[in-house]
Amino acid sequence: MDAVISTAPRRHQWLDQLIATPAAEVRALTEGTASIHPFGRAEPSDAAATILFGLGPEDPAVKAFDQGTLEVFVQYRTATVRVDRWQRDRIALTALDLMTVVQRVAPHNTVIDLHRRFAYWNAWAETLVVDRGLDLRREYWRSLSLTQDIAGEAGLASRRLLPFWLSICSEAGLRGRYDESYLTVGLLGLRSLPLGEEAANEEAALHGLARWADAQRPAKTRFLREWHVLAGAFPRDATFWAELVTRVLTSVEEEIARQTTRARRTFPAAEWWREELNIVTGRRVRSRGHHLEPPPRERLREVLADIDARLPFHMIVPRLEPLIQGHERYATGTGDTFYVVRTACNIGMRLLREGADLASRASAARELGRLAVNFEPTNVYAWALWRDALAWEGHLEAAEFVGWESIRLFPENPQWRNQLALLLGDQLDRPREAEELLHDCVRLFPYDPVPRTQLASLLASRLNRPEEAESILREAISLFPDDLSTNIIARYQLASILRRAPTRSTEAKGVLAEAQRIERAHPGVASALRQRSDRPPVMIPKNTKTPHASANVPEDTIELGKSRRALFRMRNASPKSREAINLEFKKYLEKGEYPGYNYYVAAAVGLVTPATDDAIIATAFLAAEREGSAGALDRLLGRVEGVDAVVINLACASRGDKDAALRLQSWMEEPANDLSPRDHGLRAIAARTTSPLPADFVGDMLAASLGMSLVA
Amino acid sequence: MIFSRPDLHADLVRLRSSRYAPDRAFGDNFEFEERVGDARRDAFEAAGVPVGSVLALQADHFRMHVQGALHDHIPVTFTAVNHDALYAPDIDGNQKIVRIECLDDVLTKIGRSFADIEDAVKSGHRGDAIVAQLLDQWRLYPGARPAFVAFKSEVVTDIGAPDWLLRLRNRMGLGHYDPAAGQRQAFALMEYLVKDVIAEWLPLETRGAKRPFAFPTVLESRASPYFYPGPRDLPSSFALDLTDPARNPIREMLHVRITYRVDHLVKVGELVGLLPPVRLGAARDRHLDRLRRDGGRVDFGAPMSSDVDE
Repeated sequence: MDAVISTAPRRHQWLDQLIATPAAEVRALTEGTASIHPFGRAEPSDAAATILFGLGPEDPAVKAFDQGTLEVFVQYRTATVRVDRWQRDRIALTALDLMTVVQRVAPHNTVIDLHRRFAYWNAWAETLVVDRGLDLRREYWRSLSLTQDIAGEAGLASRRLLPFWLSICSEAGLRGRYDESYLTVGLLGLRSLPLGEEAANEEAALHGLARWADAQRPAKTRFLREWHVLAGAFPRDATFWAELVTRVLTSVEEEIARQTTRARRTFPAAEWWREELNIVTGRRVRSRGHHLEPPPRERLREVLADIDARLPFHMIVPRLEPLIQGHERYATGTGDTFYVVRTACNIGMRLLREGADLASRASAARELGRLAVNFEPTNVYAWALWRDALAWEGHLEAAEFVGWESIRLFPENPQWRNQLALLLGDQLDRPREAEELLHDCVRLFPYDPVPRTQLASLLASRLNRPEEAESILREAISLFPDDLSTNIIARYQLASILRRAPTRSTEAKGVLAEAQRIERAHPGVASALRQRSDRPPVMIPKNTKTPHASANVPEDTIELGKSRRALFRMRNASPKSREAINLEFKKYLEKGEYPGYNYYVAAAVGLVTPATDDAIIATAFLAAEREGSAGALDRLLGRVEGVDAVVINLACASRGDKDAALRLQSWMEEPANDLSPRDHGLRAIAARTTSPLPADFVGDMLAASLGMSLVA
Repeated sequence: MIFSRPDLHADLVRLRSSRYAPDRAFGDNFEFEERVGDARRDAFEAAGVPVGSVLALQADHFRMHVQGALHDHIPVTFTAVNHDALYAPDIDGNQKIVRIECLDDVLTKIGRSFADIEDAVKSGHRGDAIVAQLLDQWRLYPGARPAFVAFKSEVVTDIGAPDWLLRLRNRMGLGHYDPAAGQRQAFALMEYLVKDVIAEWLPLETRGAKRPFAFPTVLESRASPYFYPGPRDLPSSFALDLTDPARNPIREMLHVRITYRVDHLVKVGELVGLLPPVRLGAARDRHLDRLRRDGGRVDFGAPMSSDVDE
C-alpha cells in the first residue's frame, strides 16, 4: 500500500463552485462534467451523497445544492417541450439521474416543491415515460414516496397521498395503467406515510397489496413473494397478521361483492393469503377497541333518516360532521377507504334529493363529492356527485369543467357525455353545444340508445327542431327493438312531438298506446323507468360564472377540463371559427402547462405533428394512424402493456386485425377488474363494437392516462 | 486516439498540460488510447453537442451511445464500429467472472437497508424475496450499460479475505467509490459464468452486437482517472490497481448487459470512510511501467507524477 499522504479534503473543493453557481454545477454533476474527483465516474447520486455527507442543513453548499437542483429541474422541464427524440432521451436520462439524486439526498426545498406542485411536475414527468427503465414518472413518484415526512413537516397534510399510493398499487400490472414496477413505488409510499398518531403503516400497505392482488391477479408465487417482503418489514406474530389480514380481506371482499352485485365475492390471492396464515374462511373481524374503527352503520342510518325527514340542514350537521370525520380518520389511518367513499356518496346523493335549505345541502354534498373523489379518484359515483352538487350550488362553470374532466378521464363510458349534455343544455343554456356533444356520443357509441333519445329531447324541446327529433326517435326504435326502456321512452317522446302538430294527433295517440302497451306487458321495466325519472328539481342558476375558488375545485382540474373542452370545440368548430379557436389553444400550449395532455390535444387537431416514437402513447398512436401501415401499430403495441395495449388491440380488432381480435378475446375471457370503471368501459366497447373505432376515440382513450390533477 | 476536430484537439492539449492530476489523466487516456479506430472516433466527434469540450462530449457519448436510453439499446461498444476493441477470442464459457455493484441507490429505491439485504444473503435462502426485489430494481436501470468485470480466478484470494471489498475495490480500480468520513457505502459481489453472458448476447447478435465482450476504451465510461488504456497489441486490458505496486494487475473486460439471477449475488459488504487515500499519479505511473514491460512497448504512454500536483 502507498505511503499515506492525506489528499482527501474533508470538504470537497467542488462545493465552492457549487455555492458560486448552483444550477450550473448541479447540471454539470448530472451530465457528467463536474469537477468532482475522485467521483467523476460514479453515479451522480453516489457522488452527491458522498460529497454532501455530514454537512448540516444550514451549510451554504447544502442550500446551494437544493437551489441548483430545483433550478435544473425547471430547466429540463422547459427544454423538454417539443424536442426531437435524441434530445428527449438525453433529457430523460439526465433528469432521471437527478431524480435519483433527490431520492438519495432529499434536498429540502426541491422536495417540497415536487410535492406542492404535483400537477406541474407530474405533467412533465409523464412525457418522459420512455421505456420500462427510463420512466421519469415512476421515479418522480418514488421521490414523493420517500420524502413524505419532509412534506408533512412543511405543512402539507401528512397522509394526503394515501389514496394515491393505493390507486398506484391497484393499477400496477398487465391489467392496469402502469407496469408492475410501480407496485414497489405504491407499497413504498404506503409504508412511508408519516405516522402521526398511527403506530405503523402495515395495514395501509396490506390494503395496497390486496388491491393489487385483486386487480392484477398475480400468480401465487408472485403474490406470496410480495407478501413475504412486506411481512418481513414489520416483525409481528402470526396472530397479529391473521387478525389484520382478515380485516383487510373482509373490507376488500365486501367492496367487490357490492360492486359486482354479489356476482363475485372474493379473489384468488385471498385464498392463498388465508392458507398462509391459517385463517378460516368466514372468520369474523374483531373490534380493535381503539380509535381505528369505522363509525357504526347506525350512525349513517341516522343521518340518512334525518335527511329523509327533511330536517333543516343545521339540524343534520351535528350528526353528519362527526360521522364523516370518523370515516375520514379511519380511512386515513388504515388505508381502508371504501367506507368513507361509500358513506360520502350515499349521504351526498341523498342531500341533493331531499329537504329544504338547498344551498347548504348542495354545499355539503359538493364537499362530500370532493372528499370521495380524493379518496377514490376512479369512483364514478363520486365524480357524478361532485359535478352535480357544484351545479346545484350554482357553480355551473366549475361543474362544467368537472364534467369535461370526467369525460377526459373515463372516455369509454357514454354516461359522462350524456350528463354533461344535460348540464350544457339545461342549466348553462348552451343547447347547441349539448347537441354537438350528443351527436359525438351517438357516433362513438352507436349501440347505446340513451344519447339518441336525449338528443331527440334536446332537439324538440330546446332547439325547436321536432322533425329531426322525430327522425332520431324512429331510428332509435328501429335500431333497438329489444331494448324495452328505449322503446317506451322513445315512444313517449315521439308521441309528445307528434301531438304538437294538430294534423298528427291520431298518429300520436297510436304511438302513445303502443308505449303504454309495452309498459303494461313489462311492469318491472316501467317501474324502473319511473324511479329513474324521479329526478330532483333543476335549480335556477344564480350565477354561471362563479369564481372557482368558492367552488373549491383544484385549479388543475379546471385547467385539464378546459383543455378537454378545447379539444371538443376544435374538433367540432366550423371552418370559419376554427382558426381563432386553434390560435387560442396554440398560445395556451406555448405556456408549457400540462405538456403531456395538451400536446395530445394539439396533435389530435393537427396543431403539431406527432411522431411514432413519441414517449406519449396517445400521440404515438395518432402518428401511427397517420402513417397508415399495420406495421406502425404493431411497433406501438410492442411498446405498451396494460390498459393501453387493450385499447390498441381493440382499435386493431375493430378494423379486422385477426391477431388483435384473438388477443382481445383472450383479455375478455379473463375476469374483469371490477373496481376499475375503465376496465368495465373497455369491456362494453369490446363486446358491442361492430365497426372500426374512430381514431380520435382511440386517441382519447389512450390519453385518459395523462394528466393528474387531484393529488397534492 | 487522434482527434480530427481542432476544437477537441485544443481541449485535449489543455487537459494534458494541466497540473491538476485528474485532468492530466483524462487527457492522457485519450492521448494513449489505441483501441478506438477511426470509424468510432469519427462517430464520436460527429455525435452530441458541438461544445468543444472533450469531457462533455465523452459524457454525452457515454450516456447516449454506450449506455443508451432504451433497454433494447445495443451499446456502440459491441458493434462493428468498435472493431478494434471487440474481444474476438472464444473464451471458455465455463469460467466465472465477478463484478462489484454499488447497492445504495437500489436499496433507497426499494426502501430497504443494508442490514435487510445482509440478512437476506446470510440466511442462505437463494430465493429470498428481498434479493429478488433488489434484482427487479436493477433491471429497471435505464439503457443497456456494459458491465466491467474481472475473472474470478485472478481475484479468488481477495474474495476470500475478510477485507474482500476493499481489496476488490482497489484491484479493480474502482477509485470513484470513496466514502466520506463515517459514511457507509453498500456493495454486492456478483458472480456468474461467461456462458451466462454469451447466452444473453446471442439474441443480440442479429441486432448488431458483434461480440459479447470488449476491451474497455476511454469512451466506455464517464471520465475516469483510474482507467488506463492498454497498448493495442496486448491481448488483454488491465485494471489500474489503486494501491499495491507489487501484485499483478488483473484483466478487465466489458460485456453486454445481463439479467441478474438471485444466485448471482454472492455476498454483500460495506465500505466505511475514510479509506486510505490514493496517489493518482503514482498509481498511474506504476500501471504504465507494468504495461510497458508486459507489452514490450517502452514508448507506450508517458508518466505523469512529476508533472502534476497531488
